[in-house]
Amino acid sequence: MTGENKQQNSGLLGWLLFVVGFAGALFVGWVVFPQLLFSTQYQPINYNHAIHQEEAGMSCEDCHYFRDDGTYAGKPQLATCVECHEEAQGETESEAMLVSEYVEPEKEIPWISYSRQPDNVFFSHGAHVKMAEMECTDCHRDVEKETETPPVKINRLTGYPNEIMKMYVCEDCHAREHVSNACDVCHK
Amino acid sequence: MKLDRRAFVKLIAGGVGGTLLSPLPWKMADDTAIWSQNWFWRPSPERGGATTVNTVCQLCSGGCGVRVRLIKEKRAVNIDGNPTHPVNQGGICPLGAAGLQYLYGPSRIETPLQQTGKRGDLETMKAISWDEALEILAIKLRGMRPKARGLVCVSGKREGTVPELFARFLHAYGSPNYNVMPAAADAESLGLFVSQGNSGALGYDLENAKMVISFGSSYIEGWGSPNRMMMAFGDWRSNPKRDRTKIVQVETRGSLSASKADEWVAVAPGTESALALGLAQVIVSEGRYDRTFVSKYTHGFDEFRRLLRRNYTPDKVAAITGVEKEKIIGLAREFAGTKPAVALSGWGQGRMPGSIYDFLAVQSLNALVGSLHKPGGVTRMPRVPLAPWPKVVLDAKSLAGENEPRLDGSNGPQFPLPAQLFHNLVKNVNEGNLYPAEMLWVYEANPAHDLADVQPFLEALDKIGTLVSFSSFMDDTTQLADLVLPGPTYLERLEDAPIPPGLQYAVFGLSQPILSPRFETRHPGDVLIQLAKSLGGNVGASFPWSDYETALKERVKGLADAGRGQVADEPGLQPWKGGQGRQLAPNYDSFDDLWEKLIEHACWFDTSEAMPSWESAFTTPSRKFEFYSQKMRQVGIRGNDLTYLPHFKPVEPAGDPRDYPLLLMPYETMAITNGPVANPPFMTKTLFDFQLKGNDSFVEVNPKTAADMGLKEGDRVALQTERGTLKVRVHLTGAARPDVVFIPTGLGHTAFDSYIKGKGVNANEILVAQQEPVTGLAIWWGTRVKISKV
Ligand code: SF4
Repeated sequence: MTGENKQQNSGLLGWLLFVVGFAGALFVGWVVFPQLLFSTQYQPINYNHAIHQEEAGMSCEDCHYFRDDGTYAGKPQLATCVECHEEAQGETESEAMLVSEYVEPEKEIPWISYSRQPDNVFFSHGAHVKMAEMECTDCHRDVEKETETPPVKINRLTGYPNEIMKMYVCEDCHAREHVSNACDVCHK
Repeated sequence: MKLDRRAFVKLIAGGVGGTLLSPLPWKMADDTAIWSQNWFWRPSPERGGATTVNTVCQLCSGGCGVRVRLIKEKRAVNIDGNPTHPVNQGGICPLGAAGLQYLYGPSRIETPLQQTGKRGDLETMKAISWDEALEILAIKLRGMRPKARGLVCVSGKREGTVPELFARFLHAYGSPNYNVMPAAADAESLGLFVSQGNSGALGYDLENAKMVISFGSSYIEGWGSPNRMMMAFGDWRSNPKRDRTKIVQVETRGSLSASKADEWVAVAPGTESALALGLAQVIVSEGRYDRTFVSKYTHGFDEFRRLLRRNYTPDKVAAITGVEKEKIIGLAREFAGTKPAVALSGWGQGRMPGSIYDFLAVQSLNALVGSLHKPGGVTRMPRVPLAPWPKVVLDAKSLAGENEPRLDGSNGPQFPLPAQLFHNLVKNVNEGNLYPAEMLWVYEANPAHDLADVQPFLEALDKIGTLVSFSSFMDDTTQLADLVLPGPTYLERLEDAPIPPGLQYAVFGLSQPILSPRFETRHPGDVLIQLAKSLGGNVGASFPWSDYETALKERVKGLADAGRGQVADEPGLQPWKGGQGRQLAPNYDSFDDLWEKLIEHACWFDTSEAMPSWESAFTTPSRKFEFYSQKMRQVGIRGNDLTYLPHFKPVEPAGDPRDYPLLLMPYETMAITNGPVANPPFMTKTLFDFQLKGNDSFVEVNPKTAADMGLKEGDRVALQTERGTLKVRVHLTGAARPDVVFIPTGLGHTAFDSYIKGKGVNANEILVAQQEPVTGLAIWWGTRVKISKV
């Protein structure tokens, strides 16, 4: 081989390595990193949204309601479940667990939140749902047909779930809807 | 083929490029920032449903109704004013709003403590159980019983069933030494006693007054019931349905109360009452007084008139006070010509006893214009018809105690009036007079910080056998204690809230435990009952109740039995409208019903006690209002005519003017607490940086005085009085006269926690308390001072 050839070869190899490095980093960044960053957590028992709506004829507000003082109750307390599930209502494993692990010992179900905002954020469901008349699904996933509660991806570094709404999303919408973006609107 | 350096660089470059186009670096940067905000010690609020509970604030004697917001009924997150409570009508002061910082603050005491080493050493304070603590105390008290008079108690609270239980314990045990911390109420009570016949307190019908002259009272900075005053002020100023009430503030300092008044009369230091007498002189000499009242219902008017003519003509008063003669005459005419008009007495927030003569001078002015016991004037505070407890069971030792002289010297040969003279008690202990103080109980008071002239108190502690504190907090006094019996805070316990100072109608507030006690604390009422039972004998028999709640209910039954008043359960109640003497139909039908409603709404009020008529109001020897006090003579006060008449004879401030050329005057502000609880961090945050900067306090100096002394804003100076030296910084302000410098009280704690301790200096350390010769009351409105740059 001539010296020139050698040079050409190593140049090619160099570019090949560049592409390997580039692709490898993309793979790590897009595929491996998210796997590492988020832990997967499962709800204590499966909750079937679809069956509660279709068979029990319940509406969203039966569990996710506004309290009399206008604050939003979020996830229901055990007392709401007990209204119907004093005794097991079906054969599923979750149903058996609900009664034996939570209803009977009167222990609250430790649901994991998909979108709990940080403590330094003052978020009012009332302002968004009642006043701005937004739909739940504008921000949350549609659970109407959901028969299995999906696992929650929790960021190992921050402790927050991956579905959480980031500040720029709030700001975008506020700007579009001509709502103030002053700091103290959300950070009291 | 060889991986050379260039190829390697390309691999890395590719890696970097790829990484930059992936979310990794951006997400990591963002998440790391969030991670750094989530350290494990960051507090996270409880989440869940909220409830609101009504109760009464006990952080001062204001008696405000408050609402506490609780999450999941266990975590208190907010306090605001209760709109159904007639006293504050939904208003709240900064202290009341910061109440949760006391509940959750780090200076709470968690268990009983015993000092096993040297007093003041927190390291050797040992946590003990309640059984041990009560046993230790009971053994000591049993041993001390032959010297029962040596038990001294000082309470920061003046009224209410818990202070009454303390007084009761001492009575049964055989000690005459139940004391309260000094306050303007001392001069008020004595002044009423000598001029109207019965001690007690005043009720000002301020909401119905058309003109108010305040003689040094910080009427919107904490005087009386602070929120009630704020509400009254709002009404005077901005109620379109009534005429604007004229407010005149007579005060040396350009305070907030002065700046919000229609007129600020800047008198020479300590001469407020001279101005009152000057006004009286004009009113009398021009015949503008209420002739019916003066001729039929007063005694000693001629002597008073002669004294006024001799000593308090406008010229003379102008010379004393520095107020122009024309202003004095004009003000007197306006006061006499406006109906109803009322004059306020009690300096500042009312924490200084003041002179009985200052009180008499101001109240004589009210008498002259016929404002006593009249709508829009001043009357006596109505009584709440609580049922009495059974009489204290006495044995030979308690009977002996009743005949012992009081260690504070009151009710005795030196000071014959029935006063509260804690300063004099301290003096007697230090001088070894009368008999030794074996044990001191401190209840909701912090004398080691709050007592003006605190040094003598600290010295007296060395001579006092045992110091027992009933505080909920590690305050300046408690850290010196030998035994600590911590109580729950006002948000964790049941207790009554008596009528606040200056109110003209009856209220009875009930604080209730809105959450279970956070620590191993015990209600002081229960502690006394348990202690009495373990002592047994007549002391045990004097405390027949199983617990404090039973004892309290027994008294509250009186309200139901009287069938009077209503539970305040709707917003907008204004009991001062329509006058006193209006019967209210009770909105409860039995004691149980009343109690239940009290728990829910926290307040009972009543307007059925009418202001007394002039025929029946006075129980003096002459059955009249006495300008010339026969009562003073009767109790054995010796002197010339002047002694029995309102007059101006200021107690000279301590210090030789040649050594201490300026006068130092303390002042109180709503932004700094002055009671047994220290300024909460929330309130400290509201201070301007010319009041507190870092840990530095400021002294207010007139710009001209400062220029003469070569001082600039922010300069560090030493304030030196006969008692000691404090290092502060200078704030230049026109609110200070050239010859006087002002310093706020309430800062400079040596205890509590790192958020409170060491913030500013404690003015009480260098103020010298003087004594009024006739009454023995302590007076500390001014101390001579020297300022030098450091
Ligand atoms: S004025 Fe006194 S009683 Fe009223 S809220 Fe303030 S601290 Fe509490």
